[in-house]
Amino acid sequence: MSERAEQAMTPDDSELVRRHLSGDPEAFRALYEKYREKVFASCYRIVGEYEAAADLAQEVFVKIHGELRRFKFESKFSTWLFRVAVNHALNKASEVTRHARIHEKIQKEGRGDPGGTKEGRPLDDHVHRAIRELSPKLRVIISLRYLDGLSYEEIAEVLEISMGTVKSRLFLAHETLRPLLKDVTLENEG
Amino acid sequence: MNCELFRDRVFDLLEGTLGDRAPFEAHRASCPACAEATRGIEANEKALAAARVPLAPASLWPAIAARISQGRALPFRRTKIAAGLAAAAALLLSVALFFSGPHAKPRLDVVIQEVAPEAGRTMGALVPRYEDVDTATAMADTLFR
Repeated sequence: MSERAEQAMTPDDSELVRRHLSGDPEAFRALYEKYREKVFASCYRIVGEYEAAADLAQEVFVKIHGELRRFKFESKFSTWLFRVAVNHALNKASEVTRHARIHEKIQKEGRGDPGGTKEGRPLDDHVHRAIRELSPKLRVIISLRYLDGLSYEEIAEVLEISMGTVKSRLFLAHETLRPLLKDVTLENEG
Repeated sequence: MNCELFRDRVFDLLEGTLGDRAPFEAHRASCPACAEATRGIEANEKALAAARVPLAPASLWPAIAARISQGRALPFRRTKIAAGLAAAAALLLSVALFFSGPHAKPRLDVVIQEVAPEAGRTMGALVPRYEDVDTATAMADTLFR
């Protein structure tokens, strides 16, 4: 069965949350399966290092499991999930980014494997290095917009900021990325 | 139209959600800085869309399930429990030593300070209201039951 077909058959998020709260042990696993890649990818974009992102994603899901009883069904589950994930990742970002930079330095000096991106495509590495140059708040905006595909309204809701702030941060993020991504864009289009 | 307004709405312009594009297009045509910023956003968006993020590791769920099944007993919390039990054990030992001697009852904090200062600090944090040996003994007995 294709991933899309499986998703179409999946109960909606609210139903899964209700089942989880009424004791269904499979419901949380279903929520995890549905959102693991998005949560992991958000963590990866924010902290920029594979192992750290895995640790962070693990912490986010444990936190969500513990806090699901506080979910009030007033917003979309995905909005609430992203809010928990982003806030947790932001709290950890500076610590993890410092750690990642040390690992990157070690890698450059040829003394070890930092785990890195697990990818190896120059484009991916280039883009992720550029994103790491952004402040954590700008990284989050870029991640929510271009990775998770959230609308400006949804980003505003997740981050609990105004639409105007979303757009001004996004513009600032692009201005910062422009010189950093100029070469990679040209290389890959040429 | 000015640069500030243009930049406020540049994402709407690029997404085609502006009601009246004409003033924005005119500004872009006449302002090299805004034109360059717009081209930069378009180029960035292409690079961001093309970059892949690695998949989550397969070991993620087992790790989450293990932590959930522990009742979210994080290492930090386990450490605190162990410290509390160690403190209780030290307290029992000190109480037993105390009752085996002929002297009068000293204050609990004096006994603990002599036998196990570290345990005393932990116990003090756990049960600050226990001021005397008899009450603390009863509490420790409850802990071990």
